[in-house]
Amino acid sequence: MEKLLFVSTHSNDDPERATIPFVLGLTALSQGKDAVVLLQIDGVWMARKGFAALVREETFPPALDMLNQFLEAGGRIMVCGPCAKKRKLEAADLIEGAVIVNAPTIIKEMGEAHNVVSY
Amino acid sequence: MQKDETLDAKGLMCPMPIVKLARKFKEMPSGKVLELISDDVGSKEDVPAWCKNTGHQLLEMKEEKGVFYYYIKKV
Repeated sequence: MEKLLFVSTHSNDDPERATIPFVLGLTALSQGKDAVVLLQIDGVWMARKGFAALVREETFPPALDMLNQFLEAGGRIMVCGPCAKKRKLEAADLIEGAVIVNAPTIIKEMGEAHNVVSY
Repeated sequence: MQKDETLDAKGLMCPMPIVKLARKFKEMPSGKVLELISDDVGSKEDVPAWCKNTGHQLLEMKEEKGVFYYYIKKV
């Protein structure tokens, strides 16, 4: 199955950039593809419990809805370990389904992906 | 246009009409026709593209007073 990896580096600092990876990821899943969203830098805040509800871009459905639907449809969310650590986020702070990963796993996923797109 | 089921996606923004469509098709048998109703202008591009990408057959699309009707056969 074709896999697409979306790298998201924003949260409420840029709601549009923070929302689009989940919109596209969800669309990819609806077309039978595998989709992964990798949260890095300030993007990791999107995986913090309750945080996505604060992110709203009027052009798209609410980010929280997109994130929940993405997970429900089988999408995977990876959180950059060092980025989370810098922001004092631990696994217990994150939503169910978000997994903290480090560089080797990220490189493995990038290598397997048909396309990697960064926002 | 003859239809077997209807999915009313009015009020939903991109990409939700096609996400709902994909979910609906998972539970529908092949050969059946779904009427999808959307008032999202973006659906005019999204639905034909989704059908092309997934291999399902868009039989007809029409617009009435800002509401779009799509008739899609599950292949």
